[in-house]
Amino acid sequence: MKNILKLSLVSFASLTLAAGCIQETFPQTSYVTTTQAQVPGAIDRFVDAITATLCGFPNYGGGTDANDFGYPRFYIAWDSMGQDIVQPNLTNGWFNSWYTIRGLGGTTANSQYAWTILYGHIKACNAVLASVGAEPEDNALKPGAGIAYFYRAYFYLDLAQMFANKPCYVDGEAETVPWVDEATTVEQLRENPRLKNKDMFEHIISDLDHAEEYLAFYRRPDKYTPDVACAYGLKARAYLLMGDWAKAKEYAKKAQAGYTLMDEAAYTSWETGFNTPNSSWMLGMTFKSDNPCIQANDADSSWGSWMCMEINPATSGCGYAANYGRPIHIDRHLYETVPESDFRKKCFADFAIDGMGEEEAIAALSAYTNHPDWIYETNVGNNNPNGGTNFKFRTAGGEAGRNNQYIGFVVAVPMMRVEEMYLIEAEAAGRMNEAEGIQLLTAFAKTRDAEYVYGMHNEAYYNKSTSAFINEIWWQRRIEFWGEGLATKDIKRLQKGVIRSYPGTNHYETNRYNKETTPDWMNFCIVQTETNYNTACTNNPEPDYPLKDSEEVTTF
Amino acid sequence: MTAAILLASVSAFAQNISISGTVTDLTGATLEGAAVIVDGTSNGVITGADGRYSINAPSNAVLSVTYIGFVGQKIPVEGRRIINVVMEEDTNLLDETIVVAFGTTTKEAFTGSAAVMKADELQKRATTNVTNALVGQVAGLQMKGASGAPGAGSGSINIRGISSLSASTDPLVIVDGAPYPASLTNIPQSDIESVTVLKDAASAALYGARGAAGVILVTTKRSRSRDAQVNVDMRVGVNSRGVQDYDVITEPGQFYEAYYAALNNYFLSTGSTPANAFASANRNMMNQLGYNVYTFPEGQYLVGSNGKLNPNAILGRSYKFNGETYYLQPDNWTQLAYKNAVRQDYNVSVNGGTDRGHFYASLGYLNEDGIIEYSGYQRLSARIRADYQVKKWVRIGANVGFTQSHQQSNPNMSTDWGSTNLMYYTTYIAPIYPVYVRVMDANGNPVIRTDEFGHEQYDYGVAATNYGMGRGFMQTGNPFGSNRYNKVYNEGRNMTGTFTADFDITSFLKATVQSTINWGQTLSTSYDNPYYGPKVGVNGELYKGSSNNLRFNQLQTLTYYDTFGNHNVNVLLGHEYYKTQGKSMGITAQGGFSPEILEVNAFANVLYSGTSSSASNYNVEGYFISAQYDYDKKYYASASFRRDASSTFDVNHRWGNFWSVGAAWIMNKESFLSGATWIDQLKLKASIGQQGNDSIRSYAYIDTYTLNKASDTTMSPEFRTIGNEKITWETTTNSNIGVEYSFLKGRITGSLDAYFKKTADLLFWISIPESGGTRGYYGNVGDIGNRGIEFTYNFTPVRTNNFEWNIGGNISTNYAWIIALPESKLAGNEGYYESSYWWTPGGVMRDYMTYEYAGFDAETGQALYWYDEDLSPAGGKEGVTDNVTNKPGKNHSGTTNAIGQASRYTHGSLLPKFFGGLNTSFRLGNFDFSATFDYQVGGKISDNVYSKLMTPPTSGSDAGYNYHKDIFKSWTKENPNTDIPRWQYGDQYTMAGDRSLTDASYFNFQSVALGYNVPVARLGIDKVVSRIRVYVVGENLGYISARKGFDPRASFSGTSSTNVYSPVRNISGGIQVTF
Repeated sequence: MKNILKLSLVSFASLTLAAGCIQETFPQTSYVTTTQAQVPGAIDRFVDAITATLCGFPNYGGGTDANDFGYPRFYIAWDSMGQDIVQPNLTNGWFNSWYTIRGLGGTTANSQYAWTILYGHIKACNAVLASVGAEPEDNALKPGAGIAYFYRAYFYLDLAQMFANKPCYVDGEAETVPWVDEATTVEQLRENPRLKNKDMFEHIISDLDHAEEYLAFYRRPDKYTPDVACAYGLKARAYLLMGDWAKAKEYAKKAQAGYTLMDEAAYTSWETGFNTPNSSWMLGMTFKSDNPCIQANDADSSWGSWMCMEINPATSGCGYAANYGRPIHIDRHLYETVPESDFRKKCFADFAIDGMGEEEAIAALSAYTNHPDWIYETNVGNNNPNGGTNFKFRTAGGEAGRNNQYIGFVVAVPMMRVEEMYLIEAEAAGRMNEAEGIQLLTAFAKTRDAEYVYGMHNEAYYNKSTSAFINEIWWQRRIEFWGEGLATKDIKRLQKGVIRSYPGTNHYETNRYNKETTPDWMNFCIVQTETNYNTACTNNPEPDYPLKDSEEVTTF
Repeated sequence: MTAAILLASVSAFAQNISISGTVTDLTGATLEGAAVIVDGTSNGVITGADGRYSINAPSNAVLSVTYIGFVGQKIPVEGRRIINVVMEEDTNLLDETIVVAFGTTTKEAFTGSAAVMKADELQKRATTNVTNALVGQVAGLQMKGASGAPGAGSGSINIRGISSLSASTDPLVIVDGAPYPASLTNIPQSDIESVTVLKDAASAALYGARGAAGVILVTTKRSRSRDAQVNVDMRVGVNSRGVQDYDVITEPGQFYEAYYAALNNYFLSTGSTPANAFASANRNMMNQLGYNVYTFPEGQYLVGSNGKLNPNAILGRSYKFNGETYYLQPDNWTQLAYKNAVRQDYNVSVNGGTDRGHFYASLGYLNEDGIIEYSGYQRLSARIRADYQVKKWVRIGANVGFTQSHQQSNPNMSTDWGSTNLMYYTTYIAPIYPVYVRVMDANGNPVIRTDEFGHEQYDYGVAATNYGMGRGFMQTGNPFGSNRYNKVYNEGRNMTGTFTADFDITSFLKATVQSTINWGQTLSTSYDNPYYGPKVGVNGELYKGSSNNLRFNQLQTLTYYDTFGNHNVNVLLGHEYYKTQGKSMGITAQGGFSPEILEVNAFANVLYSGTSSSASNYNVEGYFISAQYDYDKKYYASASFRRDASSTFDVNHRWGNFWSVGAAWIMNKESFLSGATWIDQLKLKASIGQQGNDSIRSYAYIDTYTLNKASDTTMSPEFRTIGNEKITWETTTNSNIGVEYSFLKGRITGSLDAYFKKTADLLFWISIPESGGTRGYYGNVGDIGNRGIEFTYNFTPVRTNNFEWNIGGNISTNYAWIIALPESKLAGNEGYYESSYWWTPGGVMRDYMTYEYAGFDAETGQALYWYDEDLSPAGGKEGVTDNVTNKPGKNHSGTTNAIGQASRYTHGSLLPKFFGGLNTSFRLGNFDFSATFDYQVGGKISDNVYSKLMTPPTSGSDAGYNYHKDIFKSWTKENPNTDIPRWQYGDQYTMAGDRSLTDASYFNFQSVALGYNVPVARLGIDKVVSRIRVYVVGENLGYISARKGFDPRASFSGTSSTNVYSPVRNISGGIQVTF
């Protein structure tokens, strides 16, 4: 009897204390499972994901690298590989590898960025297309599909230009990158050869055809979302690379509708210069004040930190360009080829300033900024010249932004401007009929330089096979889009060489490389996280790193 | 039993005398309850609480003194009236109890393999985290990467090799029967009764899903039955730095010369004339280093064309900037960084009881100052453990421990950003850079500049905010400034409450219900100051974080035990449910009112991306049964089975079965050994079983998407990981065979164990091409094995009443290899390359695969690396176009100076050949001494620090890093007979590949203790104090490794690192008083 009592008590105690058995759990944090993601309106949220992290997010890593702030990081890395950008080769050089041409092999972290970031964005596009279907019937789903198609094409176009060693119009057989779409299975990934140029561009055009269709009636909320004009613009870029001049011209023309060229006031504005979309911007992206890249690491892991010079050293002291001695300057030769009458020259400090005394230099710098003393001190203090200082990309938010980088670095970055469409149109037209091309080019150039005269900018950079007209177009693109990520792509497209070593160069010693052909370092290496597991994937050879400064040349 | 029982005195002799004295142990502690009996009679007494006895006995009698756990003594009276007895603990107790899974067992009956450290050994150590005391003491256990930061958790621990590839290999920690994921730093060493490390399946399989990597059982102290005893232990000591520096350049002039030489060699190699190279090298040196700390005449160069410092150069330079006269001089960063610090540790405990209940209560206070300024740890701990016999058949118990801690640390001790990591600076900064900004005072003497607040100004290396020049090394950072004006601290609270009820249902059936709640809270504060550094513009930034962890463990067991003749049976049936809930919140705000108010309410602007809250959940449930059987205490058998479910896996794949069987044979009880009286014990044991491991990331069984902010009202899900619904436990089959021996009355004891472990269905990271938008997912594929031998020994060459000397130690080997790998991972190759290792079925684990140094070019001095012409286009072989670096080279076809053309080769396992510990102790009268050592022989680690210190500047990015003095032995045309390549700017790969691999052998003097037991009885104070012990203990006294400065204990992973808080040496003196 007593044992029964004991047993009952034990059982009771056990039951009250047992209090549970195995339970399924769900994430309660900043990620969700497939099951949790099935919420009302989910598809719109997946479409948002394509553009939500384009910039301002550390897409590559855990937020520890100051060059990891999203897509615009590629602009700096790409442009650094040629001659138009000059980087001081100093500590904290988060973009040094691409300027000094070191450590670019497939086993390096440097080769990882392209794969992790661009294929990451492609995955976001594929997730939408997998969800709505490749050809949605429902009108409500079409814009989302159109955005996904547009961006997938956009990133593959980047990848194709980075990894192919010849432009499509020259060699359709050159290998680009593996194609992954919404239907690719994990098994297919493991044996997925690099597409040839011609096949890759076929896919890109096909995606853009879809984008054109699905975005036809889409009214976008802002310039950070693509619309049909952007699809036209991207097609113009693609056809230009394919050598389909007629289509390039046609689409470049179509894309121009509704946009106007930036005038001098907009281009050289001390307040809104290249930090705020205007009527010439067809597509852009913007940092937001609450982005991790702005709020963490003193906002120094951001585009503004690398491109904007005007940050108050006393109240902020931040910014790689403004305060840490890492400004990105313009190549002296390119600067010197710009006529005084061209307003774009006002975006860069005159090289004559370096011959002046402190007071005179500061006075001269006041032609570019309200804070010439900041510029002077940071340049001189870091053994950087004042000549060539970039004033094209301005801090945002006026004086408050210049005093506080958390405001100042919240800038927008262009991805496609209508100016490029004018120049594509001119180039494509000229390729078919040079006279028409010259006429279109001259019309464009005159909006930059009222005294423009055709034929003053015929520099071959070793490739003499391009015509004077093409060289002239290229020059216009180099100066018009300086810092906007087109420089290296154009060198590859036009198969130009590189000249950094010339009398009076402002490239830093030990980085004055000349290259008579398009440098092999511009053919990116595929990271081993792909090549180790994709048995069909070949790689570009690790470049021959230039070991010493080249002899100076005097003809360009 | 506390009641003193006076045994009846029956006989009386005429020569009876009264004899009295005390009974103490070797340490001088009085023993209450020892029986003192006149031998051959029933005349006896029991010692009182003070250890005293008094007895009448014939003057020629023999006294027999016995006490449980001690060796009995027979003492002839020989007419003495005072006889003090010192009892010796029986170290060879065959029935010594050890703590095992869900209970205790005797050492003899134990069929598994375990190591135990008890309170008396722990007392000789000065650890804040008890796991540090296990290193070298437990065969088969290795710990790496322990930080010396005050209050730091333990390093990573491996028990018997590498039990998993992708899942965690940390052992399961159980405190008083419940899992304890919090840091053991919460439990003061003095509250710990024993630490048991379970290594094989027979001992650990009852932990089912979580025991595969071994189990560490910590048991806190409970009261022994006796009158109240108060124990006070106070120790005060000094912490100092426990590692050495590399032999780096310390003279600023020598550093400039080294930097100049690298540049000069570079310019000469590009064809510059010597005059041009000289000028270019000087110019570029100043441009890249930023700072010139010498004064020399205008128009001259700092380094002359002979490569030597300008003889006119004087250290220190003043110059004008913004109207102020500044002064540049280098500071010794290392010297400024470290100091000696005080460690204080006080503990008071009281224990006592009655026949129905016992209690133990303790209060502890630890204050450990860090060897780096502004780091330290304070801990206040309290514990009460009590039990009470409520009814004859039910006993309840409670054990509650509470710890409040305050850990102050330096900002950014992690590798993030690096710019404020003090260790990084002291390791690498060139000896030319100042810590402070200095100006000239009115008398023309350099002084540290102070601002309007009176704050000393630190040099952050930023031109605009300092003195107009940018520092080459790690601009924007100054860890001294950060440490001084920033504040980083964690306040921790941890409380564990255990409730138990034991029911004696019948004489053979017992039930136990145990419920444990562990609550841990950490409040973190991290503040960046508004005076200097990057947060000036926003007037300071504050992060406040709170993390709360609640862990519940519910355990019910039913034990049946009975004896049938010589058959003894014990069966345990149980159910366990364990659940953890973590909740964390954090908030970041800028614009503070005052550094004195570090709360968000006093800040202006809350940051979205610095604000967070999240929760995590995990639970596991198991049903288990275990049985022990023995026949005549000679043959023992054990078996266990557990069925577990873990929330880490999908609903359909979360249950797993785990089991073990074991047997032991006490050979010395056999008749054929009965003649061998020198054998105290000889036990043969064997066990086999399966254990699981579920320690991988949560939700690996389902696709997940990261939520990012898309607009002010929406979040967007971005693809994150691929899920694999089928993943489940990885299972380790663990077998052990061993011998335990004790000879010559415990003079020689020890054990020999051999084990074989196979981990199957590895929770494996299956890589996919990253073009898929992710790098892989988890699956259960592949098998690995570990096998090894562990030998422990203890030898007592001398044992007399007054002197005893012990030598002990252990030695372990482990061989870890790969049994099978998934085909998808091999992708048609024989193996795959990942994380610097080559993985191939049948190959060893941690087979380092990297470029192979081939000496240097005799003409140019440039480092060369081997290539295999089948893999590298360098050989010009037809069809070889890409350099294949994911397969190891087989042929040494030729050498190249271009790393991009070199092949990777395998270099064998980095794991040590063997490792272990040594200890010795002796006792001389009232003095005792002990010392412990640990060591590792063989194995390799990539010495990354040396590698960095030996690599010449490759671009301006490397400017300002210091160099090892070995660079002066570099190749030059004049110095061709050396093994170090040329010293030339731009040579990125002089230390690549296996050139930095360094022998990881070490010998470490881990601890020392010297104690003296004050003879309280002789001093006549034994009425007041029953025991006084004064002692000195030391930890981390010194180590020897292959290279000065290199610490192979830093990492398991094959590379050494700089960013860990140096291990700390401690020497403390203390006094322990028992009332």
